[in-house]
Amino acid sequence: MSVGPWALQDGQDFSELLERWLDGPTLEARLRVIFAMVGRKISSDDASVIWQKLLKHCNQSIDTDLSEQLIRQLIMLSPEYQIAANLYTSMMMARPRPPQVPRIVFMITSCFRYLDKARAVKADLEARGAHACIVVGEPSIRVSKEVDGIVRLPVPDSYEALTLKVLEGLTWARQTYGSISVAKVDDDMRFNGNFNPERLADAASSLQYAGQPWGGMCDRAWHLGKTSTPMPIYGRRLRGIFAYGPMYLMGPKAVDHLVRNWVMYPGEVEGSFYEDRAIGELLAEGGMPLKAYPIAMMGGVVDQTERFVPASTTKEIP
Amino acid sequence: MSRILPISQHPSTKTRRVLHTFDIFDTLIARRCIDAKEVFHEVERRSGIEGFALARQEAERLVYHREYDFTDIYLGLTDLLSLNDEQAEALMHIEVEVELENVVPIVAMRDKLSQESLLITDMYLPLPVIRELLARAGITRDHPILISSHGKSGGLTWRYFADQGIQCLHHGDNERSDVLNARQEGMRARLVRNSNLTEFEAMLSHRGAVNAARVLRAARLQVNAPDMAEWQQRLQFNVNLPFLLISTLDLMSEVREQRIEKVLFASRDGRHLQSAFIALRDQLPDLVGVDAQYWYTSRVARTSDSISYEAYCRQMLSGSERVALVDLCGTGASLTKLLNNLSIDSASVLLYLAQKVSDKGYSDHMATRYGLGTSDDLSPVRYTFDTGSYINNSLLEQLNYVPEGMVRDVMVTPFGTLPLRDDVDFDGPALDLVNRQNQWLTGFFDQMRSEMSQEAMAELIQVAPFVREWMILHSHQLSRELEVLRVSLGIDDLSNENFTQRDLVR
Repeated sequence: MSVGPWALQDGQDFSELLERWLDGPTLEARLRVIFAMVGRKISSDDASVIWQKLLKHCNQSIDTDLSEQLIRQLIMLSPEYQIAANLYTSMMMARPRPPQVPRIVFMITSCFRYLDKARAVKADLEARGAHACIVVGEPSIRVSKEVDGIVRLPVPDSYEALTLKVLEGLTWARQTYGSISVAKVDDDMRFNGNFNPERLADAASSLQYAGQPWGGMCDRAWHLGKTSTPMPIYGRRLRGIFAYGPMYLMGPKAVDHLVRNWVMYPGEVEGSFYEDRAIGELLAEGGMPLKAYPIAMMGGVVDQTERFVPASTTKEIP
Repeated sequence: MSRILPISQHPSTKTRRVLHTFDIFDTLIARRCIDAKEVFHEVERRSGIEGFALARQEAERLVYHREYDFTDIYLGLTDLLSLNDEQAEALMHIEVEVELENVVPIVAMRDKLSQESLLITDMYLPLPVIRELLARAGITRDHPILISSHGKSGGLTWRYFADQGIQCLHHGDNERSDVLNARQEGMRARLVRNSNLTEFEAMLSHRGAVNAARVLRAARLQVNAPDMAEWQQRLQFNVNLPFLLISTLDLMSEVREQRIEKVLFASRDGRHLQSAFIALRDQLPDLVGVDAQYWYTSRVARTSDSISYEAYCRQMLSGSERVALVDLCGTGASLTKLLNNLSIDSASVLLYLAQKVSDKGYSDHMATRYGLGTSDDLSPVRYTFDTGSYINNSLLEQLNYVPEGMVRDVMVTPFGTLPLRDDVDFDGPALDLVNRQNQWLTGFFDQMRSEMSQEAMAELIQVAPFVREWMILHSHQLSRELEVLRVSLGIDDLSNENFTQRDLVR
């Protein structure tokens, strides 16, 4: 098999290289295999042409998870090209839809450590007529998957990865349900008599991005003591008001914008470990600024307790 | 000593002779089944000769390296399938028959032909068959036809013309043979892409709705909208057409379920929904008798409290037990107001909007404007799309504009009904845009009605949920074209809307 306009180097075993490429384990590692195939470093655009050929060559013989991972990495490699847009569309339509698709999904962001709390929130939401799911991080998996009622996402399960968790969770929701509204909910939220999922679905669809306005000031040290790895203080510029993290609504267009940007340009949120701020900034850039809708009016009750990781598990930044 | 040339041959007086030339297949005519391989499969089916399709492709591949024709292919096929002369001739006849049945004109290109146009093809079919194909496509003039298997692809044809001092202005669908090679030899060449599947047709085909894709493509090829810009075509083919089709299918499903006998399509915005409904109605036996009428209306007329207008509406709503009122986009507020004024129970009328405004604040505002309370007090409306997930209302309206003024009232005369209309909303280039898209849409649905089959209809119904999802995702890829539309029509559109808002009931 030729690899685009380049021929394999003499003495190279294509099957062995293909096996190494499939094994990954990362996009960068796969790129290095492609460089090895052509004998030199090439641009990501050129590499994406070879990536497409390799994918076409082996797509019938690999499992769907690996196929989806390879497609997703191909999109990241050349996001500006038409092929990326077409692949994105296919990726969003590939998974089978459930028989009943709700108007809004309540996505409870949690971690394995606090699953019991998350399950309690889920049960409460379902008792109130809402469709809910729990998302946690499991970095060893290739693609997001629902297992025993918990959606496992291929991202770290730590506090500092919350932005990735929310974006990957939205991606799962988009792939699973199609065009849909999502309410992001923390795993320590409670709800009261004001809570009405249909009214919240209407609000999400109408307003696209709604929640309790937050962000006039920035506590750049908010995360200290909560992350599993030492992190410097938050160093990004403040860009405006966003929805307070415990609970906020995103309409179908907002979800679509966030997912599209995440899949194509994951680097846009690098360093944005304040998830609520990151979401607000991305949506404002997409022409969807925040519409005020206090959590209390949504029927939510916020638990203000901060969660810290045990001191023994963290090291100070030198 | 320099040679003295006669003036007619002197380089300074030499003129360039330009010939208008056209490729034939997939330029002037196309196959309904799109691909030649489908012709071979059909021949296999009709002849009952198993393996014909593959052998036919192999036979052509074996002669491809040289000049060849139909006879050469079948000589090879005779060997491959161990045919006798009679069998080979019968198969040739079947193949020609299938080609003739499949021909569809590419009208936009056909209409560019002039008396002096020259046709150049690399097709293997005999000349009389090619002429018959052209005749069936409405090309009856005896244009000269040049045939060579590799003349264009090898550049020989173009080199010959260049050597004769002839510059061709050529139209063809093959980037290498018809364009690059031609330009290399000094010809002016234009790539023709009409016969390629549009994004929407390609998606349908990929999803297994192959017959539906073929029907839509055949209808599209047979409509000419001269001077319709590429951005406008792309929006009509890939945004508006899927929108109208999916909405119509949804509406039809409601009409069947609720045993609706008469469907009234709101004037202007509902014009092409009506066209789509009529085009598809014949394929569903349950709907064949359903009356699809054009209803003179507007928000202003519906909320004007005009006695003559209300009398007109009562007349339109009478005579059938179950009626549907259909519009393209809105909140449903003015429809509710009308039903209230007519004292008609909303449960007895189906209100359908292809796209509903999901902005609760705006819906509340319009409900209050008409004295109806809030949006919670409006009559229930069935809809297919909503502004929360799909492109905004204004753009959909702009894609469906027709060159008609807004209806303000209706005069019932002894001789019939007379709508009282404003002047058309647009002028100048904007009006040209509206006229072009209106002409295309009208022509398309006429053609689609004749091309549509029950098979294609069943496929469309089956893939409708996928189409809806695809539309939402794909619209993002057309953001540039949508912006051009917004700039082209949106500015006057906004002015018109601001003007109209003043006339709505306070």
